[in-house]
Amino acid sequence: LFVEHNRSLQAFLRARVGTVQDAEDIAQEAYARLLQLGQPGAISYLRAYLFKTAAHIAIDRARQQLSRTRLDQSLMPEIQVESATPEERAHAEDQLSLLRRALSELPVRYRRAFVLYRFREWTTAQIANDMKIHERMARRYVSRATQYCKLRMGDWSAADARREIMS
Amino acid sequence: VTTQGSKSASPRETLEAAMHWSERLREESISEREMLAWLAWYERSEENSRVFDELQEFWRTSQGLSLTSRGRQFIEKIQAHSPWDRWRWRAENWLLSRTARPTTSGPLSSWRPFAMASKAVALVLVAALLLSPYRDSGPGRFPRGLVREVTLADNSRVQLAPRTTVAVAYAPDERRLEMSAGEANFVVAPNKAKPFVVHAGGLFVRAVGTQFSIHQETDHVAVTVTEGKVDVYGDGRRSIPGASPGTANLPRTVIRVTAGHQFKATGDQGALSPIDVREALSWREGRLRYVNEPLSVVIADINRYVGRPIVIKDEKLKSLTYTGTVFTQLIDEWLNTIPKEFPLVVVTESDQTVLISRTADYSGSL
Repeated sequence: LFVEHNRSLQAFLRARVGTVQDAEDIAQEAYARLLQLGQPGAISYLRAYLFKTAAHIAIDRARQQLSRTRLDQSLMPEIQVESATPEERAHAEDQLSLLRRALSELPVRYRRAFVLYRFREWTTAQIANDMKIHERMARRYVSRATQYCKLRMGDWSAADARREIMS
Repeated sequence: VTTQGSKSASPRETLEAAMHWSERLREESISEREMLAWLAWYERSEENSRVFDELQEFWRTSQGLSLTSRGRQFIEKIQAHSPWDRWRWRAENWLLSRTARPTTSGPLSSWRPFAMASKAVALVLVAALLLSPYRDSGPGRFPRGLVREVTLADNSRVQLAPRTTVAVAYAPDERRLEMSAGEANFVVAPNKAKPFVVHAGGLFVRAVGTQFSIHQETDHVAVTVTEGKVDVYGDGRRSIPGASPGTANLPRTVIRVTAGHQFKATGDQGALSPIDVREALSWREGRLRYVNEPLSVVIADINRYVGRPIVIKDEKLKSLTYTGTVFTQLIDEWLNTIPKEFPLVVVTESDQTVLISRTADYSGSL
């Protein structure tokens, strides 16, 4: 069960928590709790239990973290966490400048849809309403912009990437 | 749930499905059924798993953009250009279509409607700003995106703290703004021919192309310059040492404030000092920083962020000074901490929160 679902569980957790490290920790803890159960029931039930447990742990941790950061921030408001090595930081910086470039290459409506969706946490319905377009269209803008940025960050040329997303 | 045929899904459909799922999975409360549906989708094909994983990776990488100030500026710029832009265009079009009709009387008068239109647009903008305060949220339950950004007709930008209003009156020879109590940051589009003048709390702040913030509360006005320089002088009713009073037109002597400095006027006193600009602008990110600020000013600030006003009952408390940070999303928590720092008690009533001096409670019995 563990081997079989480990990738899925990791994917599930990564979508829900901030860092890969956290996802791994939480998965470990969820497995540990599963083992404590003692009496394994049906596999399908176990699987659901594993994921549910993991989700709960993630939520608990997020809450703890929130209260902790609150405390940290009030104590030392200006300290930014910089745990990355210089190389990692340089790499991240490169990736971000690629992302900025990719976004600048996009038509305004794509760019805006993407930014609202990704950084302002708007839903596609909200974006559609704001831009006076159909929600399907808003969803398409976001997904095309996402695809375009991914391709451009993955060494595709602007022309190829454009052709690909419009195909 | 969108189409998720295992074999027939096109790359785009797969990506859209992955986006849909990652949106659902980020919800704190996700039903078991939905979770299992996602699991079925994720494990259905290697393609699905791969696209989903890559999307998460991309999502995490792109998060970095909102963590650097440069990235944030970039995002803000993209976000800001609308909806005000479109709004302004629409208003302009509408006004022009209404006023342009009787313009058959020659080139001279044909400019008038345009000027009128601009003025009217400015008024419309002001109305919109005045109309948008958040009312019904109690302390701490404030919606995100507290700071509004408005792009003006000349592409200057103004970021406004809640319940701060700026009235725009652009004339041919100057860009004049009237600011209420509150806090605002101005990013001025350069135009030497038309100085940008903000009138706030009895002071004129005059810039050409620069970035500066004004914080005004009761008789305190602080002008912080992030870029370039501005000239500050009193408006005649208020005078500050070192500057002769003037109108919007520049008087003979002024206080010149350069980047990285703050000019602070309290009553008829003024002081110029260097400042950490990032700190001074942290209100835009929901942090209000104070160093030896009178409690009355702090509370007046906070009141712009809460639904239920906080009232200081004792004069004595008003002059106590506060040093620290208030998170605008965590004002309830802040209210819990201040009785430990100050000799006061916090009393929550149905329509207001009252700060009462602790000693005042006992003074009657003593």
